[in-house]
Amino acid sequence: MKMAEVLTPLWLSLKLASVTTLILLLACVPLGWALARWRSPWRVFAEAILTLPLVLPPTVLGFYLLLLLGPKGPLAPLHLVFSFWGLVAGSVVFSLPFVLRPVQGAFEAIPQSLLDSAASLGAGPWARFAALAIPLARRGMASAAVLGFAHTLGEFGVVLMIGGDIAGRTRVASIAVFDAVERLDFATAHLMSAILVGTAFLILLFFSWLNRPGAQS
Amino acid sequence: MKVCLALLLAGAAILGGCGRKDAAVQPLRLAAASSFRPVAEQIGALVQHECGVPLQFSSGSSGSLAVQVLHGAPYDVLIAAGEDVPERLARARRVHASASIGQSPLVLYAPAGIARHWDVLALARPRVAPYGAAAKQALVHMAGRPGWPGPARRVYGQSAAQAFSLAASGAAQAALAPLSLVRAAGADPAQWRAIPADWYKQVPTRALLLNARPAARCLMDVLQGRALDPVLHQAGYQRP
Repeated sequence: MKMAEVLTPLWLSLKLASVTTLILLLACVPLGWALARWRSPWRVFAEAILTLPLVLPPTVLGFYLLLLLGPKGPLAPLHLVFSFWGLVAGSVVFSLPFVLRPVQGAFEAIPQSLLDSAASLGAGPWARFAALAIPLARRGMASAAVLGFAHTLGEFGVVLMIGGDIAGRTRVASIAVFDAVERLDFATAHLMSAILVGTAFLILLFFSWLNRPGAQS
Repeated sequence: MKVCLALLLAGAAILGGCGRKDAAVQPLRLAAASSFRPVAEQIGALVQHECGVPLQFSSGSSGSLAVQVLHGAPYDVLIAAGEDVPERLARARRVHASASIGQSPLVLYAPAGIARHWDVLALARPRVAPYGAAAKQALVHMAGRPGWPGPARRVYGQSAAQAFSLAASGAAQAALAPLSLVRAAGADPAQWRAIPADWYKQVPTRALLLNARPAARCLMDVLQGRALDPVLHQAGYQRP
């Protein structure tokens, strides 16, 4: 067993999950806030579209992303397909609802009376968002980050379809486990799977700790 | 909030390190049909010595690798089993040069020993894996022949390697797979039996040059050179 075969995909998965989570947090905090405040009949349509990746088979998502990013697709000039940043693009779409929903839920849980009081004391929209809503929704945001990270770490279908299986570039841990099993290298498959199981357990432990009863909201 | 901040900082640190690897030597990227994987695993040092560039390889069914190439996968050389993929990629003008590597015969593999009957037989999916198509043809000849197994429930792998691993892991009792995979697993001669050559259309293995850079041409030379003969012979390949 070569340690590089174990460590490189794990590092790539970690990098992919971290970058994806970072991008999703930056996108979903303002988006979640906007959705939570939006009073319109169109809101349900927007929510349904943004939640689609939650229920779509990863292969469907991967197929459309491949067409979109591929050499004949409208986003071909970005050269994202079969690259790390292509995986990031796919993961952001695939994990979007896992981050957006908890963030939106956390913002919706803030009592309107608090926001009204802040407004009556002279706080503008930005001040209410930055100084009141974000601190109050911090646990929801942390939970969203944990869920987004964990979900990206376990991706298989989307990354295989738009990333292929290129060593050091798009071969993430889940694909490397599949590879190892296919070539009957069960020692490598066991080691990588054990690391992934341990990581997943720690992530879920952290998630439960964040949402423990009686934790400060 | 601290958790989110920590994640943001970690992500930023990782982002900062993302571009560094691009500056390093561009490795040779070989996409190999899963039947060729045992050979690809052994030629890294030879390629590094001959071409001065590290070799990275990916493997899968020839059909799925061809789809990746057509969608822009950055492989330098593709080792394809069968005739369809080389023709399809040549029509798409993706091939700069091609060379015959040889062929690995189809065999019937059963970890518990060759028997008259099995419940479950694994083969590669014929539509994406040339060895699956060959296995399907062989099964037609096998049916009802004395000395060959009777009908069994078929299970399909996405590639020849996956079909082989289904049998090797015990999920299926036997598999129709290329000899290269059987040899690589160190199978005993009692565990496999060659399929008569006229029972299926032979599966030639070809190397397709997809990138004209000098290192890729060097890899093509290595694949055609005599230095590879012992590895190919050991893996059960018959040179053209």
